[in-house]
Amino acid sequence: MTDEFEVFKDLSVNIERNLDEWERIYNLQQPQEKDAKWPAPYNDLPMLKMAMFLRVFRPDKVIPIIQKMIVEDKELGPQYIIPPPFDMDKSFQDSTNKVPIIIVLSPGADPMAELQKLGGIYKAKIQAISLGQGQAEIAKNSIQFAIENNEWVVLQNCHLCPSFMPTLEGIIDNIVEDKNSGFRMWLTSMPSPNFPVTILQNGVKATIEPPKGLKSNMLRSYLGIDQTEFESCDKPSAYKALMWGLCFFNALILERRKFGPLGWNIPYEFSNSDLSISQAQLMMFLNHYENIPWEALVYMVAEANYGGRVTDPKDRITINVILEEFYNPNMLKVNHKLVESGAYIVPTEGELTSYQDYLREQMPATDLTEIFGLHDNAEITSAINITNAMLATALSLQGESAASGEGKSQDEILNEIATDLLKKIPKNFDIEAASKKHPIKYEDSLNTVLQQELLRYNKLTSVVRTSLINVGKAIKGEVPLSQELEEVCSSLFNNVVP
Amino acid sequence: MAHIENIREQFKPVAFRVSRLFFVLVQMMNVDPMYQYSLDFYKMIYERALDNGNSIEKGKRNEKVKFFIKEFTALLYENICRSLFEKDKLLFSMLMLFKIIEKTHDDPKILLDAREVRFMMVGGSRVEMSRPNPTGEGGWMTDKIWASIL
Repeated sequence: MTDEFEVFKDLSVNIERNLDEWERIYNLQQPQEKDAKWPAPYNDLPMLKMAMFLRVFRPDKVIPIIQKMIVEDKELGPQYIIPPPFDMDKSFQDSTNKVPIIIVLSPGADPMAELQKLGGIYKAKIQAISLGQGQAEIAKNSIQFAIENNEWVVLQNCHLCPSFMPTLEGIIDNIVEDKNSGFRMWLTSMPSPNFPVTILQNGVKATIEPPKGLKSNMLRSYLGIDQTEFESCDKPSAYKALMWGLCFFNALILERRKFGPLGWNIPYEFSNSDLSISQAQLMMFLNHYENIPWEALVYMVAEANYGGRVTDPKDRITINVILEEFYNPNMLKVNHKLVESGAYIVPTEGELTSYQDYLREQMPATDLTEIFGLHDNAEITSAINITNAMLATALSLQGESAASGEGKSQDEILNEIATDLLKKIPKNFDIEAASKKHPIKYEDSLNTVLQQELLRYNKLTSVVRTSLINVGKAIKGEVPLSQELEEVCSSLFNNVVP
Repeated sequence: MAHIENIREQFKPVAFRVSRLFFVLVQMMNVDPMYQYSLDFYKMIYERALDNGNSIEKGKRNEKVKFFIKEFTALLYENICRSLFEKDKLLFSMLMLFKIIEKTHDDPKILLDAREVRFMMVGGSRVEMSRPNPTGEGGWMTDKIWASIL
């Protein structure tokens, strides 16, 4: 970095001189913020350059700095990092009888409940068909029927029936556009390369999945709550406080999955139906009993509704402990703090909109590890993984031409890397010498292992060596650039293992 | 004629931005097979942005141009985001940002250093250290970080 980029030309010397200062930065929670005070002359870097440095120095903070770049850009702004929550109604408004709505699924997501609710609002009859073997005829007939009767038809799991897709394309093609028609076609599908491109391009697409982050997750839960129902409980203040706890709990256990094995031993697919049944039970329990039946509430949610999915005994304990944080008498206190620092609290009792506003305006956008009860390092691991995944995708999208800036061309860089690596590859092991020194004997089985390992290792180094030599030759034009070689080239160039 | 030509010139920044952002969509298509967007769809968003700007008075052309750009960008983000998976939403914002700051309408210079962007994505690739790690072995800075910094 130091000798590649003009801006960083004194960086390595600077670090050697100000070791303590840089160590302080290294250990900061938010090294990307202005008040982190990087040692001069690096205290006033443009953000992209800060991002470059953090990429090597603190890879877990690259995403925050990218977010900051977006927020502080004068053309974009904060609304570009808070994606609009899932809103089926909006998608519906953009559809017509000829423009189908495609719902892209992710594991654990089921849009049917929301669809039915929407159908209720628009007073539409809904026919749902799960596609699969032998369902093609039935689907065709239902579509026909729905068109004639101005109904909705939902074809679920289109990815399971690729053979039907061309027919579907034809059917949609033949529909005459009519603004007054009540017919709508809804298609749900997992991502699939077999899905016809024309339908995708002309339809309205919406993805459904548990949203990322506590804030958006809870906002979605709260947008899904019915206003009249929210006000209809006999014990309104308890209901509202516990509803907050339940939604928080739901968001929290979903978010825990991002920590991998640190969160759950098995990544569970909790779904929206778990939340809605728990909400219904909460209402029922509060209405039926004079005192709040804490134990029953905790049992139903942690053991039955959500717990039904939890198979690992340790996870079962975890989920109970987490829920007890949210289903307990303390929740009923005014502005009860959910964590010690008070970053998360139960908002003051109010109308449904007041909770939504609280979520939008006061809830921290990035989740604090404190609320998960995990050490900050858990966040770092997961942040690094997310960063790497996102930047790798971004990298694969960059055209080759865009990559080679001024100075060295891609070929030159490749050649350099290849020759550099060639120098470092160790010579093949001398198998014969090894077998003389450690002969295969009955008494010493380890020698057999050694022999086999040596053979394999030799094979590996030979492959690496020949492909590196070939890369060099291909750049000069001496050998044709096969697909295999091309892959090696781009991997080398992109700093990944071929 | 010259008058029309003149007005047309003033709206060029809008066209410039809109045409640039289309390529972000083209890029997104490589991320997932479900991310397919047609030019018609794109034009529809554009037309909607233009419609929304009609209420602005005729005389304030400068304001109008600014509004169109802002409105279109916002509409595009909203519409595309709906069809993206969570993990790709920030990616999309980032690509939009880079497209926007890479080049402005009245400046032919490319403002974004492709090498810097690349470095941010790839990260350090070196393993060899020309000078030893100042924090020593097992210090707070790993050899890998130091090698990349050098």
